[in-house]
Amino acid sequence: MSDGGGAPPAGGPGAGPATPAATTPAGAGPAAPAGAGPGARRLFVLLKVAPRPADVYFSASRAAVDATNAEREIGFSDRTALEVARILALEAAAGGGAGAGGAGAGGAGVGAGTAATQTVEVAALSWGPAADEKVLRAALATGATRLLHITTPLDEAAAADPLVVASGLAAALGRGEPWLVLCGDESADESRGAVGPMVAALLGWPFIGGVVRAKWAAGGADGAGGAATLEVEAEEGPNLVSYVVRPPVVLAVNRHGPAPKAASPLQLMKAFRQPVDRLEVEVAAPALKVRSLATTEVKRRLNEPIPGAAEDALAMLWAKLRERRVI
Amino acid sequence: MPDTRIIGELCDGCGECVRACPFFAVDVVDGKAALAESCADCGICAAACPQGAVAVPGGAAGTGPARGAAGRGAWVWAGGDAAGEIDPDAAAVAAAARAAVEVEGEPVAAVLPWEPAGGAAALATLGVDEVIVIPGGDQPAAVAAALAAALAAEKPRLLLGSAGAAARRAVAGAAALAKVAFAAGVLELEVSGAGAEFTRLIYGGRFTARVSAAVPVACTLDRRAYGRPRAGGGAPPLRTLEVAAEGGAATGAESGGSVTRRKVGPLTQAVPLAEARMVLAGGPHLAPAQGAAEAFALLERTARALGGAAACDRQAAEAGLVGGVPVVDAASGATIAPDVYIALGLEGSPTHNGAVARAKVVVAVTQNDAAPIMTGADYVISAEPMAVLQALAKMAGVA
Repeated sequence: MSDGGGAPPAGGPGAGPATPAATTPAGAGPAAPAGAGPGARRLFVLLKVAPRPADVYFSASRAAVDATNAEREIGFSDRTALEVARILALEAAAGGGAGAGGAGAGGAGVGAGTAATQTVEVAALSWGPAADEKVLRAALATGATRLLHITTPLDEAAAADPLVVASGLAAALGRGEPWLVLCGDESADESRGAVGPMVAALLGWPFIGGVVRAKWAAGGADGAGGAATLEVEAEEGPNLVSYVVRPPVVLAVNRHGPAPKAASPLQLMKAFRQPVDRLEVEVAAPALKVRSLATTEVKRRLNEPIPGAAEDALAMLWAKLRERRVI
Repeated sequence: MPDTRIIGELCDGCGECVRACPFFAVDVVDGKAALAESCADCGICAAACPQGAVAVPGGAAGTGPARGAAGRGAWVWAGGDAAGEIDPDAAAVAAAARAAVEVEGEPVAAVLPWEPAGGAAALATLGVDEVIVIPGGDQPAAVAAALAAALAAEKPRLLLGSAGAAARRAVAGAAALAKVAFAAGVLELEVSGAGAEFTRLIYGGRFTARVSAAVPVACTLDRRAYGRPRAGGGAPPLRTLEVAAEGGAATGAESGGSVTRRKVGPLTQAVPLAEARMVLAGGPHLAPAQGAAEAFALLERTARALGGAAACDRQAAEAGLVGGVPVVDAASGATIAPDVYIALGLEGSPTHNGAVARAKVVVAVTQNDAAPIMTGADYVISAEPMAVLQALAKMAGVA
């Protein structure tokens, strides 16, 4: 869940899933996971369901894009963020601190030890049409213990404004007593990464983007002296930077984090029987107005052949690139 | 309902307000202006009305986006990732900011959360009229809160940041706190009067959206929107702006959360694909299947040695040829905008070509004259892709 833009709400409310769901009216009651214990550390993962870009076309009038028949999906980075949360929760349960993240790290290497006294729960939070619940239930099958779904309708202008989306998410998080918030660095339809830092600013929390790894520091989920900390690695330009993080904090995970887990059919069947907490939030007035849409202009290219065998052609190419000041 | 009102006795139905409104919220009905529900009370129509026939409510600040209350000039976020650092792209963003506001001769200032480690010499490279230091510490929340308070105090018309992570963190965070319109990845930007229009990519780069908003506006720029930095010039004047976060805005200290930057090292892999200036991409025809693993390993090493990143197309990934090399494909939202994109042994599907449409220069290395990548390339080398990769590796000093 990293962008406000791009994905307008799917047309129509659709048929809701035939599974239990509870709705929390605007401003009423906390959105905290129902099963959370009093001392639980709540990890919230923000998920954005968006139409697959390849399935989106211009409408016949060319005044709007048509995503009616597009397959909707949770973005890869968002699913990576969920995997980071899942591994942190697994490690906490095992009392280990082997780390969540890194390509291929998976859940392997969970350290042995005494289980933490602190329960760690993973709640997925998303904002979108009720029909998206079918997609979002995959999160329940791949690590989330709760699914919170903001179903307040968003019109196209509001959905395209990251500030509107971030404000609603921050309001919902404010009611959920989160300890750590994870999101993807880029969404399925855009790759702008605006919502994460905005949510962090609205909550008054620190933010780190480009996260590829997170693990419990000494003391695991219980922490040393009761204050649990995380060790986080993030990609910043050409550098890999290590942070010591004391939550609450917002972490945006990029696509180089641990590979998202695929749900088995049995896990999906179980997920479809789990309840969904439906929430409503206030929708702020959008500040952006979409005036027109166009297909991306395809840049006119030179199509200049470079003759010669490999080494000669490469030397000539490099001279041309220098001439154009791109190397 | 909007609080803005049309004074019917004064309105002559000239339509200036209709043309000025960035929200399409005004129309002329029966010879008089009429406001729609979508009116944002921004006041732009009032400023445009030659008859003074629009009454805008006062005291609305703080209840919604702080629109229509901008002062002058553009600010460029120039803070880097670590204390004392300057964003390496700040000068290019400053050049873009100057182009956006130069029509009205407004100043461009660089804003930083700290005095740069490089001193006056570092500031001289920015090409700005002024440097403003807004002390915010090293905690991201505090930096964003201080910047938001400074925006409210000085009301620049524009706040721009680069495509880098530090700028995104500060500019997006400050825009959220100051309730200023924000857009990321802006390709083109125009500021005129009290409104701004910009173009951004949506749906994996398949479409562009032209978006408008009332100033002040905060944006992070796509690399293609960068300007050419001004050469020369002395160090601009520097002032420190001490501001208190307004309205109890959180600064991070209250939450108890903190981040401590501990250790910096080079990436074990090449530069992240999205940030790479040079990308070497391999396709299914880079090498025969039995040699593909070695070929893509060489591709990665060569890309790293050239300071860039390796990539592949979806066809190579789905054939299981590429190991962990990331895919470039608009269908999955993986679009890139490097300075140089070299495609080796790659056909160029429509979604692949769409994903690299923003590259400054595309080079195709293929022996297939009918490959779609040929028409989307600036330079075409009709040599054996693997031979060209080996020549590149040799040139880059890769064993």
